[in-house]
Amino acid sequence: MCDQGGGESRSGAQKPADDLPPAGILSLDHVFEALSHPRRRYLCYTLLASPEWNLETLAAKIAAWENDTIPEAVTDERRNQVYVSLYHAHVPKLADEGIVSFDPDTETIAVAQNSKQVLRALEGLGGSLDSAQESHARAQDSEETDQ
Amino acid sequence: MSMSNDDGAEDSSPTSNRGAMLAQQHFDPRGDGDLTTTIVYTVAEADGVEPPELMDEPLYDSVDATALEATLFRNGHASGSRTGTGTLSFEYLDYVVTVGDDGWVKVYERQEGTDGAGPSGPDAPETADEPDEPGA
Repeated sequence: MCDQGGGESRSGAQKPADDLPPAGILSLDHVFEALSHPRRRYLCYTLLASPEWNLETLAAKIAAWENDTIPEAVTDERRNQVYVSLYHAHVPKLADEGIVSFDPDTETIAVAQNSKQVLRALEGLGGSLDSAQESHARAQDSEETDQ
Repeated sequence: MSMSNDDGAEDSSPTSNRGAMLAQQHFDPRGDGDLTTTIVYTVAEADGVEPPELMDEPLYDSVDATALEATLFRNGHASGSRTGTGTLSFEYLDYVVTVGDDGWVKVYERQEGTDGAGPSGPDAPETADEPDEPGA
């Protein structure tokens, strides 16, 4: 995307250091970093549907999405794999960024102080790029029969 | 334990804290799973527990395995030393874990008495880790 024209240097083409974008823009790095993995993106989409999730429920939901099925049809093995990757990688990563909090005793994931910016960005994306993932994540357990 | 497909470059990492190898599993970057899962499953095998029960400490506290996966397997193939990255090792729980760019994840006993001796200590290799921000 960068078209550097070799030795060409028009005035103003190179931005001086004091012309950096403000801090609020720079922090978008954190948003993109947080959303760079599909499982983290899915997790954030589910936070649009509900601000609090149990880790195991979420693992089943994500495994269902990845396997194009419903949570009840997910095998224990697949659910465990997602559960492990959430617990050991993605949830602590998002907690590091202040996007979620995690209570290890109750295994509850909840929105945290920086979640708003991320969820807003996702809502913008949802309209175009990621709508299948979003609508699956947002589909509260409506199709799930609780018995 | 001499059946190693380690190439010599790996031996520059501190091996003094490594005891016997307890478990190994192969990670396939083209498969369904991710590296985090393979590492945790291999440690669980060494530990003799089911993977979801290994919850003393998130792996993330030792290493960002998602970033490690991108570094070692960026091109989507696990084939020894084509990327030239070699093998990375870190400590997790009571183990030393190595991840090779051939996809092999190996878990070793951690020997006592070498705490903090090597560059692959328990500190995650994060970049922005400065505790003291100079006030603007």
